[in-house]
This record gives sequence, C-alpha cells and structure tokens, in this order.
Amino acid sequence: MDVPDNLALELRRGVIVLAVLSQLGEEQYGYALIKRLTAQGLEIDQGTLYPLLRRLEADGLLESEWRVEGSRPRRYYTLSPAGAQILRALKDEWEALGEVMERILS
Amino acid sequence: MTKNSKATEMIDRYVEEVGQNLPRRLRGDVKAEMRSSLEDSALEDSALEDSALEDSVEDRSRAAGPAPDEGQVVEMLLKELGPPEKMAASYLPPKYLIGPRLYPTFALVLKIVLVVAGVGYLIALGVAFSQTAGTPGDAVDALLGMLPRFASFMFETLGIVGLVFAILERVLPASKEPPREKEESGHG
Repeated sequence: MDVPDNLALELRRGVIVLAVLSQLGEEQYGYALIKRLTAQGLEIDQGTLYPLLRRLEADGLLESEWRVEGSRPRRYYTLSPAGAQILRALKDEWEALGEVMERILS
Repeated sequence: MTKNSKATEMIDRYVEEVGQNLPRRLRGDVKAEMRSSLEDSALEDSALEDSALEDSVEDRSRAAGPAPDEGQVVEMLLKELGPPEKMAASYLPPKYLIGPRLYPTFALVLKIVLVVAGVGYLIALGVAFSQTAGTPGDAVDALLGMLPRFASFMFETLGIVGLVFAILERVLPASKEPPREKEESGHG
C-alpha cells in the first residue's frame, strides 16, 4: 500500500536539510543541486529547495555568491564552517536515529 | 542564447509576481536567482534528447506530447511551483497576527476578560433590578437596556486585547527557534 502523500512528505521533510547540507561540501547552484539529489533518488521540488537554501544561508550554515559561469549568472552555495560542523552533528544524529528506529521496528 | 520568447515572458511574469510579494530587501536577489534557476531547468528540460533524463522530466515530456517546446515546459514548471504568492511566502517566516508563542497567554487573558465582564454584567443587573420596584418586567427591561452598552464594551475590550497582543507579537524579539520550542518557552 502506498503511504499517503502528506505522511511521506512529513517523514522526508526532516531529512531534507541533512541531504542538502551533505551535497554542499563543494559549491553548487540550485538547479544542479536538485538534479544531483534527484539522480540519487531524493526528489525535491524547486519550490522547496530555493527557499530552504536561503534559510540555511540566513542561519549561517551556507555561504553563497553570484557568479557567471556558462550562459547566465548563478548563485553558488557552499557549506560555511558552521555548516560543516552542523552537518557532522546531524550525520551522527541520523545514524543514532537509524539505529533506534531499526530496533523499534524490528 | 536563443530562447522562445513566450517561455521567457512567462518566466518574467512569474518572477515579477513573486517579487511583488516579497519585502524590498529580498526582492532583487530572490528574483534574480529564481529567474536563473527557472531558465536552467526550462532549457535542460526542453533539450530532452541529449540529456540523461530523470523520471520527472520524462513524465513531463510525455504529458506534453512528443516534442515539447520551451513554452510548454515552462508552463508545466510554473504550475509545479504553484501560485507566485505562495512561492513568495515560502521565502518568509510564517506570518501570525498572534503567534504560537503568545497564543496561550492571549487565550488566558481573553478567558479572564470574558469571565470578569460576565460577572460584572450580572452584578450590574442585580443592582439595577434591586433599584426598581421589582416586577419581572422591570428585570427584563434592565437586562435589555444594558445590552447595547455591554456589547460595545465587549467589542472594545476584545479589540484592545487583540491589538495589544498583535503589537507584542511584532515587538518582542523573534527567536530563530521553530514554533514548537517557542510554545514551550512562551508558556508559563
């Protein structure tokens, strides 16, 4: 049986930040990031990602700059030092959570 | 860059509308980023044959027929993004007249005001009734006579309470914590 959309979305919402941060060790612009995540199986729509990138930047986890590469100017995002720290902490959190959930569900 | 003018026009219009719903300090930057992202995805999605396709893009092209032009791709893209007002809102913190942090206090104050006003009304009624000769008709007259004043008093009071809390909501320093944590710390 399929999980209802809203439940699946809610479950996924929590990990999106972790997924996004994990991909920004090297700098990316928004659309490239979407393609990268989608290619690895995590679908995220543009309407979710772009505001999220802003928010993470406002929180000091990301840094960004405009650059013209190829045909048009793009905003490139990359982890800030604080963001790298948070990423490590979130990864630990994720692993701990994974273990707990496995124990609970089995 | 050769581009379908219809596609460009649609993107421009969408981005413009998003911008109108954003505060000035965000507007330029968000608009520029959104335009560049939309153009990225429109171009790539319409260059179907020479890119490795994701499922979503395949679906998109199938829905659009055998050879989607950029206009169609952009149209679908924008539909996916949803109304521009909503898109703009997702760039901003949620807006509350009275937010979750203050709401419990607001509800408490409101209850107190209602109880006090109710009791006050009953007392005033009792006084008015005891001053009249005391027929049931007098009591009804007293009750009805006071009703308009009571009603306008209630509207004013509730309005003022609401106003005060709405101002507090805007004046108190916003914390960056998500609403759930705010509720805990704001409740006493």
